[in-house]
Amino acid sequence: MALTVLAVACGVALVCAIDLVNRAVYASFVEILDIMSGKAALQVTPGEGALLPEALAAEVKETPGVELAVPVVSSWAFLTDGSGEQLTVHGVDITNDDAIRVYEPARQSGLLEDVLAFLNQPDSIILTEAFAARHHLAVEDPLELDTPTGRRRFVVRGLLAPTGIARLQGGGLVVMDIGAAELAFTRPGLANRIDVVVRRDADVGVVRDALIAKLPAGLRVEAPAQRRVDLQKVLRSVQTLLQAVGIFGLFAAFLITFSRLNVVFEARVGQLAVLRSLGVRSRRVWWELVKESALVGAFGIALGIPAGIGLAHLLLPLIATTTAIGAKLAIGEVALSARPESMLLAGGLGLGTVILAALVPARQAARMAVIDTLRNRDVESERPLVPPRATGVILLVAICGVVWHLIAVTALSGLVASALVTITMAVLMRPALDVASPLLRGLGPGIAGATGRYAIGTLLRSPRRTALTIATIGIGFGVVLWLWTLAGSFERSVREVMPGVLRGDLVVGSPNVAAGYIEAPLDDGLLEAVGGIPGVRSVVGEMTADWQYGGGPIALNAFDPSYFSEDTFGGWRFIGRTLPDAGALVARGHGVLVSENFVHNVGLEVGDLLTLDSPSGPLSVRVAGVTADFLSPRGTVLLSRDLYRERWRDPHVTHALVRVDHGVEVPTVRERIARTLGVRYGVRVQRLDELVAWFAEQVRRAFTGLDVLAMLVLLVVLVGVGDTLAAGTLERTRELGVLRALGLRRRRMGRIVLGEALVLGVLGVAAAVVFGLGLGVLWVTTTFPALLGWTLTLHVPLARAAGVALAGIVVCVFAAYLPASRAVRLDPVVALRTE
Amino acid sequence: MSAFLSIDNVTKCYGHGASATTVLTNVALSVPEGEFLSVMGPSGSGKSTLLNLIAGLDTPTIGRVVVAGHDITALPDDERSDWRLQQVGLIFQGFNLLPTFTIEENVMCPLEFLGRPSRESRERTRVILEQVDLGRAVYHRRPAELSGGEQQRAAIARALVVGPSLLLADEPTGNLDSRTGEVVLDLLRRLNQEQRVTVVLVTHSALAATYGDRTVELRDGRIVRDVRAPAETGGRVIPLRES
Repeated sequence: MALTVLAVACGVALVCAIDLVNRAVYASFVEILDIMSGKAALQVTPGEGALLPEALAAEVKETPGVELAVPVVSSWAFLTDGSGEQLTVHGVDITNDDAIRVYEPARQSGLLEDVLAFLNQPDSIILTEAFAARHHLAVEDPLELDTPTGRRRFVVRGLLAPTGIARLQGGGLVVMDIGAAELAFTRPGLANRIDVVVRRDADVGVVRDALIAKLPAGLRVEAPAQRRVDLQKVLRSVQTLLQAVGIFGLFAAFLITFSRLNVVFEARVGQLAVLRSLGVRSRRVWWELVKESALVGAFGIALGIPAGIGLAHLLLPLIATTTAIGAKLAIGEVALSARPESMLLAGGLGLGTVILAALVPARQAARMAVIDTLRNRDVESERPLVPPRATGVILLVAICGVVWHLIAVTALSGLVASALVTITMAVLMRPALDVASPLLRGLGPGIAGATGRYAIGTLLRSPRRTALTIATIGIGFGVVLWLWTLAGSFERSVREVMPGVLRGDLVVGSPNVAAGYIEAPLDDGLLEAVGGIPGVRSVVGEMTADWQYGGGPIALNAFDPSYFSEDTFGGWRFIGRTLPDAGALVARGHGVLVSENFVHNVGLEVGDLLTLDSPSGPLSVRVAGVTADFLSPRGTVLLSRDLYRERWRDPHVTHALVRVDHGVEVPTVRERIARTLGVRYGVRVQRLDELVAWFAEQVRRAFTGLDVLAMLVLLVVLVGVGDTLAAGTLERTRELGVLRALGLRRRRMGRIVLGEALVLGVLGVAAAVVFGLGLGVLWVTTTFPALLGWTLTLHVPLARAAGVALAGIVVCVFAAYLPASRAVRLDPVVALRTE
Repeated sequence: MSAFLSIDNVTKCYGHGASATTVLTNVALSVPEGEFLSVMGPSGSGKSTLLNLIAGLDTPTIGRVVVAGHDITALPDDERSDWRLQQVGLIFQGFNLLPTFTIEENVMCPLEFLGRPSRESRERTRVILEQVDLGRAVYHRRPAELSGGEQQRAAIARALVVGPSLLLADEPTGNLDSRTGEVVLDLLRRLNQEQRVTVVLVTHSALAATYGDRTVELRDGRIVRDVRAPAETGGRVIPLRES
């Protein structure tokens, strides 16, 4: 039973860890939202990344029910010490005490005694005590930061105690006066949002409606709670995917438990027959067995939950990275706490899994007739656990599920179809083994003589246990292969698509990552600076931003008009038909390009009118063409940056794309740009292929958790195969003694057990390849686009598949070590006495 | 006649110190080639231990076992295994056929472990199965589908298939009814006489012991009696009476 406990513990640990980390990551994002919004009941925003006139705050303040309207510059700055540590910039009117109190900071004594002096020095910043202590900074110390307008030197003028806004994770906060913040992070007179404090006697809903009616179209008026809901929506896909991985771990535990309980109960049918002959009803026997299994499950849960908390600490940075990259969010320190709800969930699922796994084996053992019990003492019951008719029904349901998914193409249908395919794969393994038995019986002696015959014979003697072990290996490695297929396809798609969107000889951008994998924006003054460097033929600015369209998130990808209308940077790779002169249409701001997944998810096509709610009001443009782009899972709108800057009031760029003069060496220009702008902007200059490789690296980072999963699968498979082989050698002690008595050398005994492990490994890996690649293809082509939105190109990771195959077989052989050692050490005299 | 099997003052103890148990004490025995030796004695007298020592499954604490001039107690484990595979046939009370193998596979199994070609192994197996009166009908059946007598005959066929010089039988009739037991003992006797295989039969049955040319009786780990068959009994010993 120890192995069952271990299997349950592994499954429970995985579910517990993923849930703990998911909750911690979500709580971390929510905490940032809550802290940053302070007492504000409403926020007026132009949308992510866009700007609004600071003066609008006065208009908001005049609205009935509004007590305070605080314009805020909210941005990021980065340390220049090479760490890339991110600080949240909070620019408010320092002279307005009421505005300051919205964010509940506790000023340290003596802070800002001379407000005018603070304001007169635009390099004044306030840090938190925590951050200052960590970096050994004191008041009046200088601090250099990377900002969108370049590398700037600031001076610490005050410190905040850790209350209110200063509680922000790790104290990574810079408070500035709004005027100075606009100079460094936006543009004079432009803020990111207006925080609104509503009077106590006013209804927030009424005030919200009044603001919507009063403010220019395009501005959003939201409650912080609504932002939480939006955040939940953004995180849901990634977290659902992670939870699915946890559930698959539990399913592997189910298979091992099912297999083990089956063996344990069959070994005890003699005892059970005695109980039955004493008059105990079969239902009572069944119930006792289920209770006993639940007790075993409880031990597994007791081990699994602490292990899950430990695993959560290991997975936390990986899952936080995956979530941040997947949801394009900035994440700081995430605090992990042992949440009872996660433990209850994992414990409940673990217990449910064990009880579910015990039901059928317990029923069969409890209902076996006494005569059958005696007759089948040495041989596994011939009756399959799942009758052929039920197997047929399960297969039919799975086929229907897959067909439904192919037609419906929804995330739910995808998850249901995947679960059905997994269950069917486990159920079909027994009939598949029965079909393959004659072939295996022929192959065994053909390849390894009597050793092979004995190894195969032993495995086929317990077809149920063998099939379940193969299914465990198949599902375990299949899941890894499936997710690697997904990761490989994603990476390949990014590598293929990116050069079609970002073109040029060099790309200049921030070395700092602001949100997920998106580099921090820089002021578009950078373009002029780059354009002035000798050897630069042409420069194009690119800006990316998240936006809302049709009730969901999309990405905006804006390029300077010449990028659409001229061939200096090469042409666009269009998919399907385009409007006549599509490039010029987009350059003039009369049209846009959309990504392939935008068409798939939103439904608009070439020639359709697209209306975006820009911060300056509705913007209607024609869809001029379709191209591939990977910025957003739901879709990307590619537009002229002139149009974007005008309507979104955003003067930033994410990248400056550079084409060098004919005859000039690219590395020479690269070196010049780095030398000239490195000090002022702290920029990173890369070749396009390096940028693409960097994006591919981000994809790999997002899927790093897969490696941990693969390790867990290896452990589960190790346990499963070890369990089967150990049970086999224990059951056959007498037989092994007979073989020794017949004259088999000790090492040959070990080779028999190794042979069994090899057969299990090869069959399990074969099942994994079929299952993993099948599910991988389904997910790449259908489920993943439905779940997250991205349209992917299928890429089968052959090298990794070979690695999985090899790892599977090696793990099986490794799992055979202990049972084989036992077989080798077996004393034939003792073994022959074994009943 | 020179000794084919020689047991030289063998003592076998299990355990250490105060808990040590002596199962055989100073047993000495010499068996010529082709002899049918019955080892008789009550339960716990040490007869199975003696058989295990002869088979090289166990090693004596003191003394040695020499078979065909080879001191098998001095052989390393692997060489003892090889010797057993090539020279010894073992028959057990519980038949000990491999349940997942067919009868043919069970009998053929030692030949396969010896690496003999498949066709040759199969032919040899069929010859041996005929010798023990098992027809084609049972070739592809599994042990559980056969009667006890048939299973024991298959076990004897497995023991004989490599052409051993020594056949060791541990209570071969213990799980059989008296009629079937007689058939099996007749078969052993016939094989001993026709093929000149040296047979050591361990039994607690006085009747079974009469099938041998000679009977030794063990009691508390010591040989208390050694009786050879007189010529007038046709090679079979007179049953020993319980003393």
